[in-house]
Amino acid sequence: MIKFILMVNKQGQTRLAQYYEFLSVRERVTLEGELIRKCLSRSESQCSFVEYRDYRVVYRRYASLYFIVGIDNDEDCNELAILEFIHTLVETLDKYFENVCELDI
Amino acid sequence: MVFEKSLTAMVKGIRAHRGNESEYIQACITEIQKEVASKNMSTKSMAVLKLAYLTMLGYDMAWATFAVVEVMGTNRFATKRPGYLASSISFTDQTDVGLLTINLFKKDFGSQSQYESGTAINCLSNICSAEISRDIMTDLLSLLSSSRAYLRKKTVLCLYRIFLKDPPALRTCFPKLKDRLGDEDQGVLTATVNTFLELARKNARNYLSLVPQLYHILVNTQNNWLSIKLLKVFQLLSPLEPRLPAKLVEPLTNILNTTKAQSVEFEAIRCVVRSMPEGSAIVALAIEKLQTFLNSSDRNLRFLALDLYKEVVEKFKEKTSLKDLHDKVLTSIEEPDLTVRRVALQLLDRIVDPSNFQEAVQRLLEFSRKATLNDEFIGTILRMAARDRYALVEDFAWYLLILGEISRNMDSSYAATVAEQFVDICVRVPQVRPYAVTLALGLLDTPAEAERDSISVCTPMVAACAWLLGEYSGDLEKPSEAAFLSGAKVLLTSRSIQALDAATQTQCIWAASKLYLAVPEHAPSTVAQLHELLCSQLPSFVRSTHLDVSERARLALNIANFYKADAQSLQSAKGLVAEQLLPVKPDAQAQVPVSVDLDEPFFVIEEARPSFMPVRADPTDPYSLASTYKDDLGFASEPNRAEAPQSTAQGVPSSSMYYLGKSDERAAAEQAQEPSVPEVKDPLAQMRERLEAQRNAGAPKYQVMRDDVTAPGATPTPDAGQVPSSSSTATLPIPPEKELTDLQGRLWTVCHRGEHLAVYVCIRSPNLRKRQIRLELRCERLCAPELLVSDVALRFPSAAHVQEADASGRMLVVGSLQERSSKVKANLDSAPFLWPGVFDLRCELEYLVKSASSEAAEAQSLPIQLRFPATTFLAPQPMSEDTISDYVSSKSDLLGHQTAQALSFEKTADLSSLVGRCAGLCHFHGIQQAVSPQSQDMKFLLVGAVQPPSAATLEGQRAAPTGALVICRCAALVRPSGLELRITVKAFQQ
Repeated sequence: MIKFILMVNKQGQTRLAQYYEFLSVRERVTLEGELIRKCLSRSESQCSFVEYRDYRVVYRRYASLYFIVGIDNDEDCNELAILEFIHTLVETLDKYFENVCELDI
Repeated sequence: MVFEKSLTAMVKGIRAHRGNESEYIQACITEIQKEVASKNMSTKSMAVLKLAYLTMLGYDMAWATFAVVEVMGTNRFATKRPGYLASSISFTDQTDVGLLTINLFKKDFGSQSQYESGTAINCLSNICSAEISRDIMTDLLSLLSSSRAYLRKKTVLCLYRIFLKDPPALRTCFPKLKDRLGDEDQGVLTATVNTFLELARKNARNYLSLVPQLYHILVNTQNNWLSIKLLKVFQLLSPLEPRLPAKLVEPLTNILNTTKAQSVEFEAIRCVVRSMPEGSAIVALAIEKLQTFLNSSDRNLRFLALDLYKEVVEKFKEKTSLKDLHDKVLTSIEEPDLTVRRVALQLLDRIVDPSNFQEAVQRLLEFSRKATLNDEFIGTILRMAARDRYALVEDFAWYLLILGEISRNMDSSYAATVAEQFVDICVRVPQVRPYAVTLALGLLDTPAEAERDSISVCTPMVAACAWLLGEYSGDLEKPSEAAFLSGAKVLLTSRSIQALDAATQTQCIWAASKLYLAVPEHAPSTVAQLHELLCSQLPSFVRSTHLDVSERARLALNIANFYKADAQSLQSAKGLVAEQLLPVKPDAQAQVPVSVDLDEPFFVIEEARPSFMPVRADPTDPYSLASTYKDDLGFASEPNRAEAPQSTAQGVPSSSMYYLGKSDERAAAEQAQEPSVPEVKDPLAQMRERLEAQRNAGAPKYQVMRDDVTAPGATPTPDAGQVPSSSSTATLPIPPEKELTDLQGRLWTVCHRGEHLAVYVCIRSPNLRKRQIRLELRCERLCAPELLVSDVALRFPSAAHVQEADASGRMLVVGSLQERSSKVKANLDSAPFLWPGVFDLRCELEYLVKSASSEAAEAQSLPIQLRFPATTFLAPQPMSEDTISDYVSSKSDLLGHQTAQALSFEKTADLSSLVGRCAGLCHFHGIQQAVSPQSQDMKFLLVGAVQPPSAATLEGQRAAPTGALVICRCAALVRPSGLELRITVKAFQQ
């Protein structure tokens, strides 16, 4: 199951965060910081799945914004489906805002 | 009038007060406190919204929960929504106003606007508790068949959250929820399948009845997301229903061949891998698809394919074309992506076999030299090699060389493992020792001029090499004089040794002294040189600040001084290091039964004996006294010990105490030697050449001692994988004493349940040595609180010899009995208990009862029986299968009775440990018998001995025949339905 969805920009600022399980504010901040550093350090040629703590993290970059989705590591989620889900999410945003950009979020 | 601030204004305010936000927020909260009390609903709603924001920043809003409920109850959607939001954020199971929300939910569920109902459902899923669920279930069920798809979808999803909180609700909802699988709306359908998927993850068996509907949806749907979810459900269900995989072949083949979406394709492959039997056509198709994934240019697909291949390799041993995969994996290891690399390494770990192991290791080593983070590669090499006791390694000399190379990497975190394997291989493979010792010497003795005094291998490896050199010095290449000398020199003289940690230094010192002790046998001509080396170098170690090092050096020095440079006397010292080491199981120590009883005095106090044995005065034999001495150190067998040192000392002038020019001469000798080796070679390179030469000459056959030595007296644990098919008998692993004691501690039985109180007893294992049995007793009051029960005591029969009991018996409770008494221990003398059968010990229970109204307490006395289980007084009898069958044939009169019993179990994974545990609890010794390798059945024999007769007797007890045994035969038969256990007990009497 999806545990959290983050939208973080290249400067490491979290633009939107939605958690589906309880985490304290401090835990969230460290999690977001570590994750974005991890994602930023990866190049284009690397795959979009990262293992982080107990999560399997799927991320995708759109311009300067990273969409990061954390899923349970024990259950096998379909990573490709999550990638498609991220894309659907972006398309939805695009439709709503018309030519969506980071500022809209 | 308080100025009403909007949420945006507050957020802006917080941003503006950078540095002292908390002050500003405190001000806001005081403001909100006033606003919440206001009559104006929109003000109140805004206040709640602001509070919700502040909660997310970590401020408490529990004080405002009532206001939240009020806001939830307003009529306007805009004011209502903040209330629902705030409650779903802040309400917990403990929030008492939560119950007030039930009516609000009921009202909003019936609302005209589907959005109002939707918000309410949303909120409910977040704050639901078991209580709320019970009250609201009927409303939710009617929403499930609402005419609006939006609401049906939300309700289905909400139900999942409710089931988590209130599992019984699932039972009432199940039929309605199942109907939703036929919903024509895609959203509702997906939500329902999703809910069932999550439920099936918890307990898939309950959802087998849904298979026909799910199958129908799978065949008809075009929705990718839905297909993925369905495939996941089928993955969970197919192991439980043997007919399902065959059914699924067709739709899965269809999906694999037609789908455009890679995610669905991947999920289908995964489903095939997990649920289809090996060898079917669809598996081949799936693996073919997987191969294309692996070769694809998309990095994500490559990663997933590798990841899935791990499962494939594990499940289908034979099928996969390993050769291709092997190459592919080796290339993937080079990928720049760490995640891919790690998965590839894990996969490599599983697919290597002896034929390609060497190649794989070479490749890994190459990468590890290139990569900066190379520990992973090295770890993989070590892991692969060590698996199944070096099953993959065919050429051990080559592998040792690899280890040597790895150990050059000073800061690897695997240094200790490398050293460990190095030693382990040498211990297990005797044939590789000559090579290993030379390699060890080479590694220690770095020839490069610049590194004269710095050891270039990692510290644990130095210790390992030192140990090898000392232990297997006999395997050094003949003539070994030079090797012995340089070995000792490198161990003692190199200055960097003294910079290493204490443990390594001690190893080096001891290895050097072992070389010295072994020298007469293998290199007799260098005795004097070695002796002198020890005498000159050890004093510097004696001065070490490490106690260990100093002590060990002193010991070595004294040994050297004692034996001098005398080859013959040294021969006699061989005994010091004669015993060979064998591979020892890591847990061997733990398996030795603890024989020390802390209650027993360490020293048996003996009567003082005369210090000297009286010697028989025999004038005819003056040597009688001398003959009582033992020739412990072998002095007597060395008649010409006194002359020997002189003779050898003559040959070697440097050992003379008058000799002065030794240091110069040695330096000169070294200089003289060095030019003779014109080019300084890396020892590893040299060893590599040797390896080549050795290979060309025909590689030696290596035999690995894969069996571990267990400590004597320990019960060997049968290998888990070996047990069912092995043709040998194995002793059952009896769990350690602590575990048994724990288990026994849980076996409480009721021995009395009367009008006023109940007594429970727990019977511990008898201590056979001390002839004691411990009982633990506890009582519980059963009567009404007005009655005071006090001074409970248990009087045992006098023959039972209760220790520490006073005249009135063992007191269980002194004073009045509250709910439950604490545990009271009683030690009984176990000598009178002889009969190996169920035995009831008659005792009397005494206590005082006093009602609140009456003054006088009434004394009660009741007879009760303490029941000892049949096996309490058996003692485990370690016997082999043969001795048991001997016993059975010879003492048939003592096994006249036989009883049988059959039990059936669900399948348990580890039956032998289960039976072992039972045997331990019932004081039996257990053996596992051989069965034919095809059958999965197991047979066990359990043996227990009865108590030896004793003088004391107890009413109802009599002695069993001396030496009688109780033999119990268990046969576990594997049936499709479960496990059937047939137990036959043979004893001398019923």
